[in-house]
Amino acid sequence: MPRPVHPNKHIEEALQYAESNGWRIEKRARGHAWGRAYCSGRERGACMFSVWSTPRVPENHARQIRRQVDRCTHGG
Amino acid sequence: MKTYEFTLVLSGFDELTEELEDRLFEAGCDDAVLGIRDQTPYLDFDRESGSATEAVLSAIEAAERSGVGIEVRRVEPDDLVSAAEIGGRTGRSRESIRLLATGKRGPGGFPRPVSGLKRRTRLWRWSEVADWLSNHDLADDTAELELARAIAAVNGALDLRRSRELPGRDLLDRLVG
Repeated sequence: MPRPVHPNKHIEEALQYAESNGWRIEKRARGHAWGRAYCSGRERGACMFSVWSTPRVPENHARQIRRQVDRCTHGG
Repeated sequence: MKTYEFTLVLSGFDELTEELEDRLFEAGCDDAVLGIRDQTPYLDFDRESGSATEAVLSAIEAAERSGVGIEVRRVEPDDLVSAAEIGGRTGRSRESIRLLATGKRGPGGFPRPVSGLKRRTRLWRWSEVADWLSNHDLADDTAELELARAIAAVNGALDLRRSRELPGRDLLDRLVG
């Protein structure tokens, strides 16, 4: 089943960028976090972060998501 | 208003939970991404503010007042940097930095390293290096210089705060006044 799409297009594009780098996106059912992203590293707790539903500035949040993906050193 | 980009290195949790996310969001960390890398939790901010110091301090206060037992340990990008790190931040090679630092290239007067007497890897203060680069028109980002100075001061304050239990800590007032 395809994952649900983030309502903000900038954030959705950043999530697709994460996925194209081997990250897994997990949708959350409730709360301020729309979902969580996990890198492909297999070491215990390699990289993960929360994705907000309604961040203060969606464009900045999209940039932050790309930044986390670029900073990950665990490989695809 | 400028947007300042910095990261708070945290302690107090080792996994993402809904409570943590909701409390931090509601405390005003909705301009940061909450994450864990190699078991180190952090908040990576893009914070709009009138000054770099206000941006960093308000972020620390928000994180620590969220009521989930978070301690801010350090702000990055850190002030202490190796030649390789200076190279990475300025888009130059490590060798190019070595030449600038020894005065074999550039205007000379590069800031002195703050360590290196007892170990091989020398470390500089990024705030001093950024100031030197700016003074010699080798960098044009004044927001970055302002942020570098703020981070240096705030990390000093965080270190001081951590030394609460040091016997005779009040003697440190002689230094910081």
